[in-house]
Amino acid sequence: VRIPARVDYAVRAAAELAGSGGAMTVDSIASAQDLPPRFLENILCELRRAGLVISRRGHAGGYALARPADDITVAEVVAAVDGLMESTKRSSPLGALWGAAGAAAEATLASVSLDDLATGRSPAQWRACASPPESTTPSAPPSSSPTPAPTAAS
Amino acid sequence: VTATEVARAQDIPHRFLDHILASLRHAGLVESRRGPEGGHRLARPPDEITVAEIIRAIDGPLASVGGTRPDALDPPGAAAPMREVWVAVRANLRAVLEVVTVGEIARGDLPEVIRSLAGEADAWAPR
Repeated sequence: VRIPARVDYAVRAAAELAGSGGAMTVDSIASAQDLPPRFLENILCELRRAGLVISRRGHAGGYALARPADDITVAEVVAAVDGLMESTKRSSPLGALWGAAGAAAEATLASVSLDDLATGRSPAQWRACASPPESTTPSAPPSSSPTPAPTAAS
Repeated sequence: VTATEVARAQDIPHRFLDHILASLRHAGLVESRRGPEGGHRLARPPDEITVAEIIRAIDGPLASVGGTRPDALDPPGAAAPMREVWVAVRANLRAVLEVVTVGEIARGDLPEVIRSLAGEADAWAPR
């Protein structure tokens, strides 16, 4: 299952906006998340069409979340840029199987809000899923500031 | 069965199918024999081959995000926790794809867990 880069970028841009708590320019999002600005602009347009971000012109302009960060799930952001497994779901006579795989994946994404990302909170639900033998998984300490948890050994 | 029979039965372009069969053979999931009596068959009983094995044979890792394995991601700043989220997504995909076998698909006999998850699929779809 190949999750396209655009999905990854969309979620990262949305998390960055959640962390900033206000409006950001395309360039500042791009540099904070190390994303190609052109591509990012494209993605932000899709997020705007989906009603997840708003854009403002002018010198205090830029993009901001359209709703509070704790009211937007990662699943919504993923769906806004084409979804996780849309193409496989459509094309296959194995509809039920792909439906099940997609549902399992989306359940995880629907349980995490942008605010959870920005504050480094990890609901026990998906932490439990992620824990098995992945020794590389850093445990994100719950922090009250939007400062990201330092990423451990990689 | 011959590749032509598979192509016709499953409506798969012949060229494309040849590539797929080669990958499956390479992964030891399919055996092939040349000649007039030749063709392809599963190397193991269908109930012992999971969908996850097929995906790995054809497509590489079960889940990748922008071409990177979830555990190798290192998103900066506010997006840092996404690594853990994608690892969790992969765990959920495994839970489905490592359970279902080729035999079950052929019989149209998916495990109950899968059926109920699939039933919920629409409920999860955000649009």
